[in-house]
Amino acid sequence: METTLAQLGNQVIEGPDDLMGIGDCLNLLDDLEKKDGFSQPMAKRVQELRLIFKRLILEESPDRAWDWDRAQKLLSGLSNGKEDDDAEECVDEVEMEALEPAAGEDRPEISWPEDDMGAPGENADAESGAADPGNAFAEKKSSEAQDSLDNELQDPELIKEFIEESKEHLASIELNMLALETDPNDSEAINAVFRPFHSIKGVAGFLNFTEIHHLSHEVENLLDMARSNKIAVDDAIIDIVLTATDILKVMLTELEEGDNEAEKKSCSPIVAQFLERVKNFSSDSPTVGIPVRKVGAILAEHGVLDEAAVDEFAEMSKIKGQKLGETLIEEGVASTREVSKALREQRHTVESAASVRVDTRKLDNLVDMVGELVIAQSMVLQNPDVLDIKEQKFQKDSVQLNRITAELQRISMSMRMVPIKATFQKMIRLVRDLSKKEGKDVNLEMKGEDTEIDRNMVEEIYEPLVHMIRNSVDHGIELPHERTSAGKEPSGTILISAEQKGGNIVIDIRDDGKGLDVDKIRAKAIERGVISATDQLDDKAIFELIFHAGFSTRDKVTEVSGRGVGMDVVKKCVERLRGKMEVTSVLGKGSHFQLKLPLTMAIIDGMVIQVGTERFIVPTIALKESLRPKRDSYFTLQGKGEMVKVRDLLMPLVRLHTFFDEEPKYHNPWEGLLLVVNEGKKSYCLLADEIVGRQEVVIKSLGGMFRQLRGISGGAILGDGKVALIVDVKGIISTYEDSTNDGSGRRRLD
Amino acid sequence: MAYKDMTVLIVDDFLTMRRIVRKILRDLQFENIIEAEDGSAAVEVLSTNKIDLIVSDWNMPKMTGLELLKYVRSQESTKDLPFLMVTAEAQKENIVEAVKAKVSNYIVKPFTAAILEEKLGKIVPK
Repeated sequence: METTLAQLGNQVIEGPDDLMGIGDCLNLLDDLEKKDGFSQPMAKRVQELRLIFKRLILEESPDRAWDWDRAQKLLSGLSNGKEDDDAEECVDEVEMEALEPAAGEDRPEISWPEDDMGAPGENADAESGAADPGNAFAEKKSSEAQDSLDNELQDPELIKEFIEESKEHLASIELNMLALETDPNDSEAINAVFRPFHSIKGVAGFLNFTEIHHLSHEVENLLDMARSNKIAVDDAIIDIVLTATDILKVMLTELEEGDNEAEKKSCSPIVAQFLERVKNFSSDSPTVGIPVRKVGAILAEHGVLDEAAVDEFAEMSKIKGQKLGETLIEEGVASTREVSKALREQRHTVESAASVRVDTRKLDNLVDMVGELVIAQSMVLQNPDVLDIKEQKFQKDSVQLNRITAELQRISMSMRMVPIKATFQKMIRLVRDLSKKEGKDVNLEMKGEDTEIDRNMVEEIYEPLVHMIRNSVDHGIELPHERTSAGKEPSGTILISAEQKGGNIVIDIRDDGKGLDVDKIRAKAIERGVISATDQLDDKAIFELIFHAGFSTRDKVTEVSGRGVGMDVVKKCVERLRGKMEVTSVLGKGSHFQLKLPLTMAIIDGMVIQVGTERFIVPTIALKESLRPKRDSYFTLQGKGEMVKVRDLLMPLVRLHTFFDEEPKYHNPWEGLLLVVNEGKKSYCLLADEIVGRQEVVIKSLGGMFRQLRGISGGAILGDGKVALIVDVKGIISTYEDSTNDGSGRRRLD
Repeated sequence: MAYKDMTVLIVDDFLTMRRIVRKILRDLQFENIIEAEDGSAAVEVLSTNKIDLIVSDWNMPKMTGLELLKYVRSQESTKDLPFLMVTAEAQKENIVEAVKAKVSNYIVKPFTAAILEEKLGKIVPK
């Protein structure tokens, strides 16, 4: 208690603008309140101090100098104890009645905020405007600001950007609303809907788009209430939000078409009506939206009224300046329920015409089940007893069954496929922004945007793609004058292309920039201790180094790479997706990054191998080649273990049977089969007995218990119904490296 | 330090908003401006760059302006960094919370270069 008081006494606030000082003080007041011996007179001083501080902070003091003076007096009163004259006076004053200011003293007329003090988060009330005395003042200030803003920010480029970005955000709202429809308490979804309105409102304020500002502000308020659980998210709110989204879209399109003036006119009827509706909002209010398609037609379909009547009332509603639905309700022709039902249907028909939204989990289940079906089918058809059936009709029917299940599998997979176009298109903006920022001239070209990819993958590849494009703009493409002096066109080109190859999608990112400098990367890697000076690496291995964590060839961190995420993240991302990444580059000519990803996460293209009595699946994407070595290309190196020489390259031999503790058919590598895999900077040979075949398998996760297993990434059911484990090459190699490390103590040549 | 020698970090999830703030800062002769799209991106920037001033929005996904402020104040290297919080009129009341977390000052959207300059005058000695 004493120490807190002393601290409070020593607390220096430099002036009413010293918010940090005030902040310290407020925290001390909070502390003080918790201490023993916190007395009633103290509480009153604290209460008044908080109130005054709040006014100082929010710049809502009717007389700032007086408030500041008063705060200092109260503070010294608190820390010095009761003897202080001012403090006595303060107590008397405060006791007068709930902080009602004393009359007399040379203090201006002020109205004290009625709500409890300083309770943060209690903002929704204030937003209604009239309740808060500070608001009128502030609004005046912001309208003054508006006048001067008007000229400063009327930049067509900025407006264009605003329109684009707002549209993007509005598009996300619908999805989140859907989430809210299933779970109205999903606070993350409410937030995700709230935020775009909030941001759009903010920018519209700057750009002086009053109507957009107004509209988004109202919706924001509504959602803020939902956010703080003051109102429940129900159909009516969802309706309002969706309608607002529609109106905003229309307004943005108008803006885009250069109808700048239209926006600034006082509220158009649509907006006025909508705002009225939000204002009168209650959960029972009729849901009357802005028709996109004819409500009348839907009502006629429902048999509520005939089409002639619809026309008649439509005419009437036009004269009245109302919506058809309103007129119908007013005239008693249709009930509110009927109209709102029609309106909801109207909204849904738009969606169902083009597509149906399905929960992705359902889709995943479907794909999973179809996968099972395919497996079950082959189990039946490969059953020895069934195989013995030579009857022709049966043979024909089973071929037919095969065809159907294959088609079913294809369709169910394709349901999760979306074109990569949208992801690519986001890069246009990125490249434009980045190149502008860095003063570079960059063209972005795209190829194969229609290539389809698993929905789940789309989100996953976005981030690595962004990093690679950033990397190309930041490190690849040179400044125009550098390019000209290098004899190139002043503007650089980045080409991103996608193409489907086998079970993979291949994404290429090429730039015609300065390319990767082998010597520079090498020097950097040695400096950073990534490699040692004696390490012999070919160009390709050196390029790979840029994916090493914490590696950057640029000394100065630019705004772009300043985001602190490097190529190592890209690599991790790609690996998580069971993909591969390759770099080629010619110094001065450009770089080429290639991402090879599976089309879907649910199925992999695998090589089925036999090790002893077990079969395993090695993802084909991990394999470089398979071979049977000659006897003389196998030897053991002192301190390095067993090696196999493949085309003059020494590769460590990893015995899969040792790893999986199987008794193999062949112990000698020249009898068995070697699978060559790349991991990190090196290549390895995995020893198996034989390759059984190549097959697409549906991946089954092993479940929580086995998640930590090294060397195995999942399981799959093979054609004969037996389970095979999917080999995690990375895990096996790192286990191998660890054990050779421990065993010989020396692994590397240095 | 003159504005032109300072490095400012703008934090906002809305690109257009960052553009606007950037433009206004440029009007005030700021030359070194870095942007981050939310609090966590800002943390990354702070770990690799020397920043002299943060102008951050409050309402952002992943990591809000308030969380960023608390982080900044908790780090030895940035605990005294001038931090200007951008807020909306409707959310202004929350500022008391930011003041307790030691925000340097705040500014209400929309604002002009003149208003920003006035606020900066209070928190960064020119």
